[in-house]
Amino acid sequence: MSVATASTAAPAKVSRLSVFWDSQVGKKFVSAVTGVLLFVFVVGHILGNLQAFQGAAKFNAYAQFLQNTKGLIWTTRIVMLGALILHATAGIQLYLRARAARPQPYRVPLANPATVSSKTMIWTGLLTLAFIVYHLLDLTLGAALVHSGFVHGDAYLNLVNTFRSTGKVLFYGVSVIGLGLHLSHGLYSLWQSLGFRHPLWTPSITKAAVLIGVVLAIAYLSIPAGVVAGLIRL
Amino acid sequence: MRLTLEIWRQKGADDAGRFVRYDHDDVSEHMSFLEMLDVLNQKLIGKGEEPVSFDSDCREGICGMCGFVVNGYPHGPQPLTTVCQLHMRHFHDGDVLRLEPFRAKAFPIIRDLAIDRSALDRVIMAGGYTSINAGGPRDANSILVGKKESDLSMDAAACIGCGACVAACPNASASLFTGGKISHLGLLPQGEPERKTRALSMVERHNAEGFGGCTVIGACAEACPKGLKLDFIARMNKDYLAGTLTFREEASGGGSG
Repeated sequence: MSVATASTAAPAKVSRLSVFWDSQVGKKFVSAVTGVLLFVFVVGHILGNLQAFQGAAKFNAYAQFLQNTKGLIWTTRIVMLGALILHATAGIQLYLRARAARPQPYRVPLANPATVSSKTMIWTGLLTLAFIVYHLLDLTLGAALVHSGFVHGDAYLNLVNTFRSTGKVLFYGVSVIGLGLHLSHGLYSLWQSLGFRHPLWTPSITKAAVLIGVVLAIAYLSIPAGVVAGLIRL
Repeated sequence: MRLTLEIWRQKGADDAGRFVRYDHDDVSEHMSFLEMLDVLNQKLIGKGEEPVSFDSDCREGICGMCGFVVNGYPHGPQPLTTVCQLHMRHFHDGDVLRLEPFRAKAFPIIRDLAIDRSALDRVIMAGGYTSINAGGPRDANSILVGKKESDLSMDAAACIGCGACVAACPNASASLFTGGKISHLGLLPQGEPERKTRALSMVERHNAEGFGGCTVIGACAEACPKGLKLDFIARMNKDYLAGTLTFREEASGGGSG
């Protein structure tokens, strides 16, 4: 005779993966892991592109190197596309679920002490998504719609051309500040989603996340600023 | 002292609801917030009006029955205090206070400030217990528990299930509550055997009840009258991940037993 046990068992005969993805904890886990991948790209992308300050020859050589290293560039593109789709889907679904969880809003706004970055994740995220699409059309594909006079193979020329437009400088500027805000919460929050929080480490992680967000935003701003200031010129 | 109260009045779940203004001019600073409302209700009854419905039970800050939002703060602006233990000396003569119910899809409004929090009970039913063999009493120290683990578990067990975390959360998530219950049991040896399945089933119930997800904003921990920390949500996430990775439908046929 088996000992009767209370059933704490989760529903049977369903794929654990779908249960995991369906749960808010699972979505946050996916969000954290894909967020790390995207963050690694964001760091690599700026480190490479800061070579714009070293002149056209150096920058175009770097661009040429990337174009010639098919394995690297396509692996990165595919991994990033996958990570982006999962990250955005999880984020948007969590946002919609949260909205559905409070159909009647507070008439007096909640006086909550949360950081701006944590409360605006969906908006900074959507801004970044819109920016990625625009940025790819502008400087990777060189779509005539957003970038007239695009020259394939002269990345330096295209870069300088882009930041001659005030509108583009502003949009790029606002977008990378949004990305910095997004990272300053995301780089802290991802540890929590992975189940790691500890009084020894979490305070430092919180500060480091803000610092990294600010440093990255400044680094990304430096390129349009460099063009405007004439440090990067043809 | 004199107060102006703007109280959310709603006849039931189907009513639209609105703020109604009351001038309350005989408030003593020694009253608790709920006593202040009791006095208001006596006056309303005397005038033949419907009294304001609000939840309350022990009025000692330990049962988790009371709670509404005062000027945007669940349980009022005093930290670590339930609204029944919030005293009027923390307010000033002439203050305007706007009272709203805790708002969440999972907490339907019964009337005025009174809400139905049975969703939290159902999350508990999904796994907020330990299965132990009944029988003769054990020697008190037969299972050793470290002081730090026991303290941490008690910190989580301080949760009274009032729902202020849900009320404060921009996502209307009950993660602090669920994480608190999962941690309080999972930190102790008696709760260890069911730790992972508990996390799976309680998190699933939490989602099924229509609460939102945790996005680590931290408003819940600020609002919690019992000072639960975000650490318990991290522990819930960890146990849930471990449960997902190691889940088995059934261990075996049950052996020879």
